[in-house]
This record gives sequence, structure tokens and C-alpha cells, in this order.
Amino acid sequence: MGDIIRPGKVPMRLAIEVIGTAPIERLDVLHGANVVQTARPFTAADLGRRVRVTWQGAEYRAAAARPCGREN
Amino acid sequence: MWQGKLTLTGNRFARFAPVNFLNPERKVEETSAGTALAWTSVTTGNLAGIDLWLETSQRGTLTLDTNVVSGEVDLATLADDTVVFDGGGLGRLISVYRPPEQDWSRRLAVDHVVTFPGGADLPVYVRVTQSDGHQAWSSPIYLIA
Repeated sequence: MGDIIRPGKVPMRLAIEVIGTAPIERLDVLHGANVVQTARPFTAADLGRRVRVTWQGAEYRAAAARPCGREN
Repeated sequence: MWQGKLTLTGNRFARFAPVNFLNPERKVEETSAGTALAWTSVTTGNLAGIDLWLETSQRGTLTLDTNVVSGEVDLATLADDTVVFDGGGLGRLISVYRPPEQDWSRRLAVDHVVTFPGGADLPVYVRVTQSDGHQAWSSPIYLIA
């Protein structure tokens, strides 16, 4: 991927195929910062005794490092 | 930095496994056999977690207590949804959900159709999350006027 297009009023159809190195938990399509579509390669019938707890994110964005030898 | 512990009441886990714990100095410790775990972890754009294999699928309460955010999950009502606890900051959150019990497909095909609404440029891109916690992001396709 990676491109710039001027579609006008013509819908853009994106055909996505993913092959992972581990089972795929989810695929999210984003428009800017917003998740607009999520797909998973399994259904509710596949779920059972396994429960996953995950955590993510950061407290703040670190400031850019100063160049070497610069005081400010 | 995350300092957390979880406690299971009304149920037990038969086993557990860390997810995306890459720093050998930070581990998950079983503080009470089958019912409690504790950990320290750092996330800076990545995610980490723990898998539990419950003795009984739909029973008990999972209590999460971390230095960022805490909460409880009723496992009797947790189905194919995700319970999220928002921890503020830059997308800090805890998620609780059920993945399949065994490994599953490594292939997925999706169609997505988007019509440019006009106005500001619209970047369209894809994020893939694997069961091992690894993520891949595509480059965006910018739709512009």
C-alpha cells in the first residue's frame, strides 16, 4: 500500500489479503485515527475457556532527543 | 510502566501464558496457584498481556489491579465482546476478551470500500494484530480532492 489518489465520487475498493507468522487476531481498517472496519478469521463458536488480558499505550510522548553536544 | 496483579474468584485457571513479554527481567509470577498472578511490564507503542485457560468457561470474576487502571470482569457474561478499561495517557488501556482456545488461521482476506467524502485528505490504512501481540501497519493510501 501507500499512494495518493483523487477518486472523485468513484468508490475505492481495497482488496486486502494478510498472511501472518502467527494466528491473526484482528485486522482493522482505519480512516485517519478511526477504526471503521474490523475482521477476524474466527467466530464466536471457536471461543471457550481461554481469556486474554492485554495492556497497551504510554503515559506521554517523549520529547525529541537533542543533538549531541547541544545544550538546548 | 505497568505494575499489575489479577485475581480470579469463583473459578481457577488451569494454566497461563505471557503474551509479548520480551524483556527477560520482567515476568509474570503466579502468586497463588490457579487464582492470582502479578507482573511488571513496559508498553511504548506495543501491547503485552496474559492468556488464562480457565477450568470452567463461564464462571467467576476476574479482578484486575494495576498502577494505571483497575476493574472487574464478570466471566459469566463475557462472550465474544471485549471489556475495556481506559487508563488515559496515550491510548493506555486494558482489554479483556476471549480468543480461540487453540491456534487458528494465519490467513485473512477482507474487502473494504470507501467513497471519499471530500474536504480534508483521508488516509486509509490497515493494522494487523497477531495472537503473539505483534502488529503490522500498512502505509496509508491518501484520498484527496
